[in-house]
Amino acid sequence: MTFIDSTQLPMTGLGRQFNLTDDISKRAFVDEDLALYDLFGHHLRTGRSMIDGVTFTGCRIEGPAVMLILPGTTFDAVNFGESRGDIGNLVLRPVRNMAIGAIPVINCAFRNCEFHALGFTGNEQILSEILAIKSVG
Amino acid sequence: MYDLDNTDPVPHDLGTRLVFEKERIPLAQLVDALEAAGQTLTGRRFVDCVIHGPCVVMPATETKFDNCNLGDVAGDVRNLFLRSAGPMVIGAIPLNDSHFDGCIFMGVGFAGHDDFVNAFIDILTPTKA
Repeated sequence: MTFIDSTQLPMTGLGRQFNLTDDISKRAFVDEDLALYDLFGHHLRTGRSMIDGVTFTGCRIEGPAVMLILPGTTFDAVNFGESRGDIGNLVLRPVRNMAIGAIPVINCAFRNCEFHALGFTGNEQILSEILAIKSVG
Repeated sequence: MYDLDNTDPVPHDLGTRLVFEKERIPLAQLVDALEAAGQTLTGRRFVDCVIHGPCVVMPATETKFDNCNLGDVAGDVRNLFLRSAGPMVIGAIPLNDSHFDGCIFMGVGFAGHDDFVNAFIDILTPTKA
């Protein structure tokens, strides 16, 4: 058994320390942190091919991964992550009409979250909206 | 060449090995294991392995793919590729100085800049007689 000293965990950009979720099967995460790959793996093991209908509030979502943003997924007051000076670095456009390797996220809501090491793909409308985001700070 | 019926499960020592042969390798787990070991995904050799996603990779020019099956492309090899909208690619797994020989990729996309994507597509597209 491993004991984790919570006071030694790193700070997130959310004004609190890293707080790895202890239940990846939740439908609503609040102030918890997780890797998108782990969440998708859970959904696959339970017979679902997409991350569907999950809400995230105050969460840190980590990569490395590319999120395929599908209809019904919303972002409200989120930090899309360190873009290294160009928001385009976070955006990937499918060459054709599929996004093999990206993790599909549908009907999910992200509020006051931050993303780390995540890229984003989807239809041109959502990608244009991300590309229009102005850097802060 | 890979053999799906004769492939070992994910090895426990992902983070420390330099060569993998006839094993299942989830790339995201490999990156996690390497990070835990203070290393990066560079200088690895994969022989007859099943390389699992979901993930998007960004191969460096010195990374080689010999006799590999890059996965189900739904009839169009361009479906494997994503173009970066900026000079860098965030979210993709960099593959540096690695060699994939006789492997099959499942759920793995390839990302890069226009030149990389166009060149890779050209290599994978049979020339018309």
